[in-house]
Amino acid sequence: MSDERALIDRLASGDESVFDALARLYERALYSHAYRLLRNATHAEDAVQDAFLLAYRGRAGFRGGSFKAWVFRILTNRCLDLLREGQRHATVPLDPPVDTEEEAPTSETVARGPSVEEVVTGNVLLEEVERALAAVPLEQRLAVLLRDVHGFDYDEIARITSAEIGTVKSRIHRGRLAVRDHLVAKGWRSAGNPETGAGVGR
Amino acid sequence: MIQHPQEQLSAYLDGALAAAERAAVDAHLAVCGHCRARLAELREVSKLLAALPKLAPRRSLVPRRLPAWLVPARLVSGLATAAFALLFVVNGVSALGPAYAPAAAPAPAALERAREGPGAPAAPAPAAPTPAPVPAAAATATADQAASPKTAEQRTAAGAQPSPTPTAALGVTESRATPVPRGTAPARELGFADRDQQRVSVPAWAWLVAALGAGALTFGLHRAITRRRS
Repeated sequence: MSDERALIDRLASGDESVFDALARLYERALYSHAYRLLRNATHAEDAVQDAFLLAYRGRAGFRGGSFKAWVFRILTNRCLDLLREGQRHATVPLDPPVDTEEEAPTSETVARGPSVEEVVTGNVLLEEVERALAAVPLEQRLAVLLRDVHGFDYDEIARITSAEIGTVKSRIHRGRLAVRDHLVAKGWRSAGNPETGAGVGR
Repeated sequence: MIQHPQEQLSAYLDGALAAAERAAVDAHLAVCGHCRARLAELREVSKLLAALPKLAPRRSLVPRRLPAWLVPARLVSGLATAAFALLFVVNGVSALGPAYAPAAAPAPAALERAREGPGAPAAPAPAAPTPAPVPAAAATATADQAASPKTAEQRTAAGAQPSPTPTAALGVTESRATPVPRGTAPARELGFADRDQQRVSVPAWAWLVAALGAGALTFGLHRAITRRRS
């Protein structure tokens, strides 16, 4: 997006009036990320607001490059702080927290596996993917979200999560396997997999 | 048997392998259907995750900037509230004070002293309603009579001029209609009606209304500020 590029360049050169425009570009992506980490709509809203405030206050520290990665790092750290605080005070286990907010997806069991091609428009499988994610351990879930949902590359993920590249690789892989296992347990079958049966399961 | 790639499969999928590693996995995949299938599975899971919808927050989360005029406006409004409140207190006290303090008790004594002779120092009269009916009754009575002492007494009770006038009716009329000059002793003894006629400035209650209005404005501005800051 050349518009975004222009905004970023202006921010990097000290024009802070574009901050709000940039923030609005990423508001939903950030909220989605926070929600999938915290599993609570109110906490997620607070985390994103905190992240915006922290980002604005620290805007001098943005030297260009990926604004998205920069603000995602701030948000991720904020979410992890909130989770650690919650763990200290609450009796709810850190991993995985049960979401009881009104946005909790309706629980429907997935019938035997529609394949990806069949499901691009359907929501049932995606709801199951959300549920699968909620069951993935936090650090793996975080890596998978950053990689597959938000499209960051391994270097950016390493910077966002303050981890080594090898650790990032391992977490992404294990996170994907965890999602896969959950889906398979619900009857999902991958299309074109000769070992688990016919291509399109029903 | 070549070891099946594990983590490398995901990194291979993501194009995160170095050239040499990539070539090795390529070679393995060419001969291993099992790993090809697992790669296909990983690719589909990755696509499913990428297809997840962006969730929407219930409200806007982008910080709202505080308009620059809000904080100074609140300060000015707050000072105005304090000033109006102070003016109300000052005016309210001075309006109520003299009417209540020396009013009722000495009145009968004043009437007695007035009876003893004209020129006696005038005493504070009772509250407004009383002097009015008294001069009215006295006027009617006086018109029929020509008795000077009674006239003087009536005029004094109504708070008229200290010196007796020849005509009783004239004196009574003057005491009821004409505003007495400020600063004279009789003037201070007047009830509410005459006090208001002397006042040229804003009545006390207006300051109260102004204070309440400014207070409401200050409160509203404060709410607007704290809401944006939270």
